[in-house]
Amino acid sequence: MSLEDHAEELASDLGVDKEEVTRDLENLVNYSVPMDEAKQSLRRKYGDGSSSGDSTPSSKAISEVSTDDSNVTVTAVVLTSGRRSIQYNGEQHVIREGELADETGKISYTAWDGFSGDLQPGQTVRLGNAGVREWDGQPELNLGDSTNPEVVDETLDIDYEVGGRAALQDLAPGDRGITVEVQVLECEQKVIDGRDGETTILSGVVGDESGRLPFTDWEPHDEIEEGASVRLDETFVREFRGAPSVNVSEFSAVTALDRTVDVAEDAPRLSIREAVESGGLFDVELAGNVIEVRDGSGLIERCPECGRVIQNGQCRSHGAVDGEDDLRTKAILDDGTDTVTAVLDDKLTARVYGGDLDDAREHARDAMDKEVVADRISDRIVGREYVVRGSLSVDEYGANLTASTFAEADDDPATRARTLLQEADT
Amino acid sequence: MASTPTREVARRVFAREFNDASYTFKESDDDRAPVYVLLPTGQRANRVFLVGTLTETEDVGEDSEYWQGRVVDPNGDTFFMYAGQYQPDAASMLRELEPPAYVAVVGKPRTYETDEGEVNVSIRPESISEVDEATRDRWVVETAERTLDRVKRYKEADLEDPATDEYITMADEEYEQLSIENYRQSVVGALESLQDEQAEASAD
Repeated sequence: MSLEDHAEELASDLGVDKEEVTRDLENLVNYSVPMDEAKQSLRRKYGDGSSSGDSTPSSKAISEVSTDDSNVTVTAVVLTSGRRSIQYNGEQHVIREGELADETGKISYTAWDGFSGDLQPGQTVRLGNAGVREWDGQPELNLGDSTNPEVVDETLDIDYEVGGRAALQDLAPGDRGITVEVQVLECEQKVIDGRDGETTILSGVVGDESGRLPFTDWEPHDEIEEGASVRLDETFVREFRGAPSVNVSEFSAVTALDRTVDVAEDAPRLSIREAVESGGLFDVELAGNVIEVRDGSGLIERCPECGRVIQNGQCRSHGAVDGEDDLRTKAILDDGTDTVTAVLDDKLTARVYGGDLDDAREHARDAMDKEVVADRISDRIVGREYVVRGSLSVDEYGANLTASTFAEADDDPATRARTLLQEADT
Repeated sequence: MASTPTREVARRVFAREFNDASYTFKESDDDRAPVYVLLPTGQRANRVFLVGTLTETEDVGEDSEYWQGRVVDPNGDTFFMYAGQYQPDAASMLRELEPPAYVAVVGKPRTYETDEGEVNVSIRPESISEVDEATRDRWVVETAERTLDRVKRYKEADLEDPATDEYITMADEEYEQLSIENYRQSVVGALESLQDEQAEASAD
């Protein structure tokens, strides 16, 4: 078999350009690499990592693609596609990410800049020799210069909606090519120290009928301003302080809407276990009993430099400082399924304490002990049931709910008792 | 990723089930590992939260103060709690409170074996606070709900299946002589008493 024959066989196996393979193969053979090893090496180079003899990427249904596969060929409908610019080895690359679906399921993909194919949502494509990688335990497709794209005239009966239209509540970190229609609730301009020096960005909160999420616009769009209703196309979702956040980029399209997007008044109510297991929520309502008021509550002192709570006039970062008085409550909320620490700011603390900062100072002076403030808060709230709304983060500091509202539960237990009684009697 | 520090959740349980929870265990050999009591409905508990009526307090200490408190749930079953010098806040509440009073108690389950070989289950309170009747009623409903969930899980569990929750299997082994039906009855009893109270209140 001539080198050309070998190259031809390889090229058709791997679904890559024959001339390229011939060149690579020649090069290796010229460097005294035996033909068999040279072919193996090229198989690895073009992404076929399987050591078995059968190196042709097999056509697979999406549900059958597993992390054990190295290369597959799939025919699927493009659900979403979002561009993103990333820095890799010091160079700027534009990649496309999104999801593909066929009759059996869906899968995420990343198309690197060497991939030449079209990825229009709604299009059916045949992807020859797509690489498979593992992400978070799940298989994902890697489309690169060795992947053969082909638009096919085929209609697949898929269970998913084409396009990235989504409600805010359904978004999860990692979603790409997403379209949302939202009202901008809060928006402020910020100057950050980015990769390329100082950059102006927008950050704030958007809402729709399903909920609220924080957003960042990395390439400020004029249409995004407080009170505006807008459609955001080609956005991506990232995790921000334990909750999903909507990211608008240079590739996103922002369109002002001529209608007002209604925003949900209420936050979703979850059990504490569900909320903690979600890993973080931007806006959630939890109900439970306060079973303890933690240390660091009541009349506290903060570092004037960084705002951190300080002990004995010592800041962890700034040493001896002249602390500034503040009110705060850290209350352990427990509903029998799990616990979170509800963190109440000065205003909410003043309400549960029954007095403002000046009252607290006087109270502490009279008693010659700051702890009396925390003790009174504890007397007033421990044991009682509260409904708390706020932003939940779950990380190495524990599960903390930064409260925006904190109100004693006022639901009528009798109604719940009646329903339960029927359940218990069966 | 750094692990999230966790805190033992406070279980909701009626006194009848709590007082039956005589089996204790640890999940590691570490001296400081938490001690759990096993609830007969198949859940471990290292902390409990209860709201009920404080009916009696008594200093049962010999040399130093050691306060016993009795808190009664809607079925008339009693939680016993003991607070001494190492639980100063709870002890002073028991000293000062005038029974009867509605109280909310957070505490750790403790077991004690008598000379006759009986195991008494009690609470070492972390905190005791006075609350209103509405808070108590809500606790009753919530505890009914949680207990009912546990009873259901227990009844639906397949004990032959190795994937069954380990605490359900443990409860089946440790509490052979106890009937799960008792705990469903305390749910029904508690909820009915709440309805009777409501009926009386509206008749007044």
